[in-house]
Amino acid sequence: MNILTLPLRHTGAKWARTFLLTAVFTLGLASMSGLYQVSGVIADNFEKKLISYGANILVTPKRETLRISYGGYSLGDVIMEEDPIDLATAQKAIDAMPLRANIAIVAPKMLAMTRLSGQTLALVGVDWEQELQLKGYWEAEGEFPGADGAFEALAGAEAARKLDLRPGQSLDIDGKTLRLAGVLKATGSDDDSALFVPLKLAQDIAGKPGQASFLEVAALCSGCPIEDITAQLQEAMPDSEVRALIQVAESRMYSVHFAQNLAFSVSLVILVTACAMLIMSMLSSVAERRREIGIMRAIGFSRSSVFAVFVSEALGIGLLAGTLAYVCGRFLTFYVLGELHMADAAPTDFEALPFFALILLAAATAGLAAAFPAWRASLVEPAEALVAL
Amino acid sequence: MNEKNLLQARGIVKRYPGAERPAVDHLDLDIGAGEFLSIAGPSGSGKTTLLHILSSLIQADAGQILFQGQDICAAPEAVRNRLRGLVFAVVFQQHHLLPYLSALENVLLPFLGGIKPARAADIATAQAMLSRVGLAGKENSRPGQMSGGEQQRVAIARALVRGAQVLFADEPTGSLDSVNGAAIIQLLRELNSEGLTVVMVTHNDEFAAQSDRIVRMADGAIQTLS
Repeated sequence: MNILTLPLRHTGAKWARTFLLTAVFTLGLASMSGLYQVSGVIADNFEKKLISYGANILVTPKRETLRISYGGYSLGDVIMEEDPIDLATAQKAIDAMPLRANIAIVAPKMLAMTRLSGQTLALVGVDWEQELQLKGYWEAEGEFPGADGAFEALAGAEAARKLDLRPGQSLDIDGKTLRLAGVLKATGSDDDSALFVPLKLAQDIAGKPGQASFLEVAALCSGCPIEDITAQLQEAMPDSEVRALIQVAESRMYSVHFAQNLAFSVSLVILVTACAMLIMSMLSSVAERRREIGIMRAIGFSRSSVFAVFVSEALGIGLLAGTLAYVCGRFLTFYVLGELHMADAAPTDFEALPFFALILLAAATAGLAAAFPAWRASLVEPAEALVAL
Repeated sequence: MNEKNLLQARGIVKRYPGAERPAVDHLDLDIGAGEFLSIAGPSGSGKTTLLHILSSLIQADAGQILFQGQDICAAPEAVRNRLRGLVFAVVFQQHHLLPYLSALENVLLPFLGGIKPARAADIATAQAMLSRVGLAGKENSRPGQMSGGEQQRVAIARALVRGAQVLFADEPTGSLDSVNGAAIIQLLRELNSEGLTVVMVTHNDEFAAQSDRIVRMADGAIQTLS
């Protein structure tokens, strides 16, 4: 039996109050823990979905420009010949990056020119699988080429209008016959005037096998800033120019962070409410137990001992609530993610760090919430407390 | 040291905020070691206030309380806490036991001011003290399972378990019937005969008459000594 016996016995004697207080605190912490985990999974999932709205990094060959002027009259800039990107080398360099896991999609492009139906047309050679992941916003009349799609093409809306192209029609391009799988609906971008063909065909036409004019990269930025990823990409591909499409990255991260901030705000409100209840409960407990405090002081307990009795009672409730909240938070996470059809993404392993962090948070919050009522308790004068009754 | 000067009050003044006159007004009193002193007087005469000042439960506005020649009014709070824990013992009209602790645990309470658990010797002392007040076998009873007289005995055991030299009793029989009241006075008398100094506030002249000396108070001052 020591000083901790007092809060322990008191919480046991007032079990209904203890139960309610622990339940409220557990609810607050479990909501916080659950929302934190759910928001993490949702943000991750959200970002993965957002990458289908285009690249956020552009990798182009380094180019040299020459400014020509004579006699004060500018003739403009001339781009010197640039070396295309070697895909095998680029892939190897990307795979070796420390932040490789953050690179979700690498979509190579080879640009070439061809003539079709007597008109000059821009060909864009693409890797169908990567391209269709990156352009999740594309809609097509007809169908999209399959992942292999070695003899299929996709026409932009404007190109199809000019050349009167229809889905299913055959196209003769540089001696190869391709089937036009679909016609893209207008996107308002350069895609509208292009004809998308298999990467290999465009490489053959351009006479640059195994190479790409540029790469569009979709990176996941919730774990680290886009600047870190571009810096590593640049280091991995020194002969290329790596540019972050900052606006795209930031607007994407805004959406991701919005979900996280919303969850955090809701959690904070719940936790503050739980703390307020704890403070109110402890304050009423101090008022209710003035006689008890008076006795402690009358038999020689110091103010700090009285303070310790009340704070340790709250700490005990905090520790219990923290443990229960971890378990309840896990169930909450599974339930919510199940409702959102994302149960597969729910964390299943026990993680010590979040567990102990939650316990620590619970104990610290409860201790802080109880500090003021406990301080009030320590100020109770024994004679006033005992004689007033 | 003179037997008369175990505890001395000198020029004690205590005025409560808003009160017309002081509750204790320039009061002097000597209490000898081993004495059984009763403080009597009508309600509002200042006897309880005096008891609280003597036992260091409250501070006087002016004057000195000398315990073994040392002024305890000027002592730091830690010293006064220690005095209340080890040297002075206080019992009240209401027993003020903690309802969620057993009789033995209530008596052990003064040992629990720190994180260290009560030692086996402390538990033995508490059991012996319960036996001394006639409650052997009631160690595990909760206050709610005991009579008023038994509860007051537990309160006395709790007050004395750390070997206090002075017991301050504020109307210890006030909430008891005459039989239980008489038994408590008898217990105090026995403890006093074993060397304990007892200072008791009471309304009951019959009980007061059993003490060595009676101090009668009125309007915050001592009227008569007998």
